[in-house]
Amino acid sequence: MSDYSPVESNAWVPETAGNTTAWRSLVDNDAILYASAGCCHVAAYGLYAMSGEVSYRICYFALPSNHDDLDWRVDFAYQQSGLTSSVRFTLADASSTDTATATVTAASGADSVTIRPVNTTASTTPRYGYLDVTATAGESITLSYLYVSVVPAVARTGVLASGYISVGAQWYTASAPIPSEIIQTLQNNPTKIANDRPQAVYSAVQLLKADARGIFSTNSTTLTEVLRLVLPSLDHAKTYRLWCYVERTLTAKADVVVFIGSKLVTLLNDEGIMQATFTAGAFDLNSTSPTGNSVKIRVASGSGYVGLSTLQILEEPG
Amino acid sequence: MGLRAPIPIPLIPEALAAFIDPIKSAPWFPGVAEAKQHALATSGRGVGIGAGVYLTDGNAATFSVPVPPGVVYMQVRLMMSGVGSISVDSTNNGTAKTLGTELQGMDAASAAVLMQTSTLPGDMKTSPLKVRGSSAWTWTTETVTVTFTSSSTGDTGMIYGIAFDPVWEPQST
Repeated sequence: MSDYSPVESNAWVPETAGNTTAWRSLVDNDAILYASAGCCHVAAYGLYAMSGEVSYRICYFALPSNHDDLDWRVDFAYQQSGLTSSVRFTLADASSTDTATATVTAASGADSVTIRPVNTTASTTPRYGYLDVTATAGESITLSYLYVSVVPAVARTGVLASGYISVGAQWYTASAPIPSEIIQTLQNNPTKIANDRPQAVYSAVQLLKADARGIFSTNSTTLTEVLRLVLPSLDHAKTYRLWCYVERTLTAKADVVVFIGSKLVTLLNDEGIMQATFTAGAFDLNSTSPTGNSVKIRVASGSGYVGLSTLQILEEPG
Repeated sequence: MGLRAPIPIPLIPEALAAFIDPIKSAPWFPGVAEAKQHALATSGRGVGIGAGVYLTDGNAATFSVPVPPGVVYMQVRLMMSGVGSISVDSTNNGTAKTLGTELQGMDAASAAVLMQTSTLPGDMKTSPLKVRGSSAWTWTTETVTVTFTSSSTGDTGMIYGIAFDPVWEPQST
């Protein structure tokens, strides 16, 4: 399949026929965009290091939407002291999992692991993923960057779970009509694609620690600032999902308080996956200096440490 | 071949078209569909991304950054505290961008400041980061390396986050 190629902006004139180049491009581009529109959920850096033969879970992250069950891929860079290590990617929903494993054999480099969702099911609550790393006895491996994305593919036929409907080449043959139903489908398909592949506008993923003493952690019951957020410019009003993974020791539960522009988002008295949605416009997000965007955590109840290991801000479909 | 500007039609939340037949044909019907397609490929959906890091003196971080169609440059914004010099480079940049600050005695998240490149390709001082050799209508990723070198004196500094914003320019069709 060729790449997306926009038509000239003055292509649309009265009496556009069903076999004109512009109409043909419109129909072709619809399929090309489904098969190529990228989508990133995590672009993070951290030193995800472990050693030994025992499988070690290094991080969690949210994987939203994807009702069409396209593949998810985790790209990573690594360095290892031994000859062989493995990186296992698990995709989970409330009750089921899918797994895939990549085995790396070079001293360093970049690799990836890809999952096709089979057992898990998309819903309005994001699925989530986690990585388990195993090195050989006495050796170590360190992952550096993580890049988690949907892998676009050619659309299946029929009405897909995302609502996307393919428009075939029969609609640009000579003397073919341009029915309003096809126009409607072509107008709606870009929206269906975008909503099934929501993107992250922010991601921070740090190594899980057995003692919950990662770099964004505390045992204080007073709100402690652990992170400042740098967001890209966001122009449109929309709803976002704040997704966190909070680790802990003993019985501690956390409050996570996030200030973004004029918005205050609170996740209260919990641990593990904590999430909430909030709606914001460009004015809300840009109403203060980015230096005012901060993340604070504290121990809300129980005793021990709480640590913020993952924070993602994702577009929320709707 | 002409130039095609990005189209910032928001695609989330959904605003769906619904035709009720019979409806009189009009040339802007396919034009609207095409505009939404171009929005999906460009600024209607091509948001940038922010990455949280905790990068200390003498360390380098490598990111894989999503680059939408038609984008050749990205503005880089980062948050840091303390004293230090930051080099930001990509595989297509040629010359690394250098940013830095000297905030003695203010080495904490609560005292972090924002530094950024401009959004003007060709700017002689702080031009945006080049993330693609030349324009193409494809989705890709670019490897960006951020190297933090702190001053030998004073507060050693810290980088707390970095954001990459596409610089949207008209490109050839």
